Amino acid sequence: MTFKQLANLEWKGMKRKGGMAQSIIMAIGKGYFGLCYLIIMTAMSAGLFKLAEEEGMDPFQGFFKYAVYLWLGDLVIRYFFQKMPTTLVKPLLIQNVRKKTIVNYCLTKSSLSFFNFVNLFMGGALFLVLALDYKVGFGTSFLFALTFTLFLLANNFLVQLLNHVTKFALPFLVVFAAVLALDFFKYVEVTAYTKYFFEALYNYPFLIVAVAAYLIALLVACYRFYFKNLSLDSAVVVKKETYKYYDLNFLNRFGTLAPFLKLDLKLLTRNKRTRMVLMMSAMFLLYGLIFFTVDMYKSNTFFTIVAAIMITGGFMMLFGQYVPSWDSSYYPLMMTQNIPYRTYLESKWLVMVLGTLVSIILASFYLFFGLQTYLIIVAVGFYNIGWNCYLSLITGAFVRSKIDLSSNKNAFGDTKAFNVQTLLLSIPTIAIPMLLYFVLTKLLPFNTAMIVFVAIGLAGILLKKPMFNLIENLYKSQKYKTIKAYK
Amino acid sequence: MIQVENLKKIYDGNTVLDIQGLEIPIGESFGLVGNNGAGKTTFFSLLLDLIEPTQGFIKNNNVIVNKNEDWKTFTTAFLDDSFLIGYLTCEEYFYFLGELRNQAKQQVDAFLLTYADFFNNEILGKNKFIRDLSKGNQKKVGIIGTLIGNPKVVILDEPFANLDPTTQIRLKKILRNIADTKQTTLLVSSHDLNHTFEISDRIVCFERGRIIKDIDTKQYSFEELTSFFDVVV
Repeated sequence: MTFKQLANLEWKGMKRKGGMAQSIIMAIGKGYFGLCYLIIMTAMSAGLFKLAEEEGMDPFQGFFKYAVYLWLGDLVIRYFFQKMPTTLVKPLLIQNVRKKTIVNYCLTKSSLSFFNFVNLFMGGALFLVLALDYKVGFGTSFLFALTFTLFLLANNFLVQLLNHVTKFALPFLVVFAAVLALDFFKYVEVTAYTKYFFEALYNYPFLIVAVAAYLIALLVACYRFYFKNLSLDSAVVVKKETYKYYDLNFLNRFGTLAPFLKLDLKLLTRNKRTRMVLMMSAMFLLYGLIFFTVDMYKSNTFFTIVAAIMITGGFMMLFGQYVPSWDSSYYPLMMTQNIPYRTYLESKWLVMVLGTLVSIILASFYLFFGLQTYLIIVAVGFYNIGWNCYLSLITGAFVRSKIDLSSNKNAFGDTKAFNVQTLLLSIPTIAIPMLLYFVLTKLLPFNTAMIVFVAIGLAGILLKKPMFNLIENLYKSQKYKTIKAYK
Repeated sequence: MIQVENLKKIYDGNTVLDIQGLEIPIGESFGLVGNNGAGKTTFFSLLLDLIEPTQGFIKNNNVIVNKNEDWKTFTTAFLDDSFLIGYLTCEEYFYFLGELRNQAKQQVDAFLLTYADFFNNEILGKNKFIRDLSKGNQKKVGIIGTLIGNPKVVILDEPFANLDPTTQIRLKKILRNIADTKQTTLLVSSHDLNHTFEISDRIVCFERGRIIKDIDTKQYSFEELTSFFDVVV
């Protein structure tokens, strides 16, 4: 079996997947974001020199100093958005396809990733700036640009290891976060040290060999990892997961919704994919720290509101957009049990509402940044409960992607809980309250505006009945399509 | 009673199911046989409103299934593993179904006790998630799950496939017992006439989406039946 046949299979898989129309809209959105990212990264690579100059530094020293952020930015964005080279492995394993071919195919596929092209553009921009603006010799600028590009390209493999090998990822992230924190709070200026690294690459062009070796080492590590994990062992052998029993009977007070609440709590805590959602929600909770500590944003209530939406709505967005997809592996069961559709949807809504309430309570540590900040968070939280929970359900009706809850079972699974689609669907969730806030604070004094904001949120809760009529009908009209998409 | 009226399911111009009329009285044990692609699963999916009929309708105890959800209160089914929730333990799964059918935990426990034989000590009290069970054991869980709460209509798609011979015999006994009470309408599909013959009062054979045989099992011996179905089954 050749690469061509594998690519052919993949193309068929993509073409025949359900929900083509919505994926076209998604593709346009993704294209737009991709283009923005490409332009920003390219401009940044070239612009670092100018930026340093404006700050009164030597442009070269400035570039060497901040280049590490280009690398880091590339790595972080890749970590969250780069798709892992998943492929249909299981049926191929017993066919006459060499393991080598499958692994090579996956690695080749990953090297065609959009992010690698961004790296090439960044390298190109660097080369042009060096050669044209700063009149560095052709050879030197080319070699340095090439070295830098190779260094960035290595992220392609680094990120795959980070995604798959937990043993590797966790210490890496911890060390990284620690270093960043040290730098951020100005205990140690990390860039002062990383500077020497990039400067050395420039001064000693032969170091390209070392960078190439680093790239190859990561490539080999990836190859070995995939090769080793390219068996069903991990999927077939029963790994007994420690089973925790929680007494969830206190939820019985929710009456008919109780069985579903209990089920959803188990869903959230017992699956890799959903645990990721919980983890990400916790991270969203800390999102405000960025906004409230940086001077630029501190005094601007506009950013406070963005932060507030993220803080209280992280769980709501991450969970809500995949309702009902979380239940995709047993959707026919849900559709045939003694459950009216409405009860089922209401229970999902309640999970989101409870999640948002918990977020609001947990966010009380923001009181540290002043009562006003926390009041905004609470007000926005109520808005999220009142309106955005419905919105999440509505968008969820159109996201019909089958979710493999236990996607940890083989190395080629995609455990992403966050992707471009999430981002696109979050736009109305964020834009509408921002607009509302903007209008209210323009027209009314701050305190009144906040009260009106909360009132609008509460009004949303009161409108539950008509809203659910709408949502129920929407879901009912999508029922057969949804069941089909989950097959 | 289940009534089928002029039911058709067409996929891209291919008629996969075409039933002029069919009535299954309350309490009947109804066996459905047919080759692969005969339309058995399609029929069950229509009965459970998992797919939309192109034409006609099915009435389940006077409820038109694609118009009204009330049939869900008295119907249960196990078609495939999409009727199982992998991240629950077996007990939790049974309790969950019990809650939906207004059965208290104690009732479910008492119910499960009667199937201890069938589970063969591999299901209950193991604290294993359903996703970690073997395919055969998963199937046992799914089948028994349909029986919780005395449903009026039970639908099982190929319940015998993938089970070991001992379990097949036990399952036949269980289903025969239910059939003998004449309280529950039992719809069971199978490739194997042998199994269907033992548990069904009536056998209907589908071929390319149409009913080609409809036979009362009491009037014939198994050999006679075999010769009947020889052509198609």
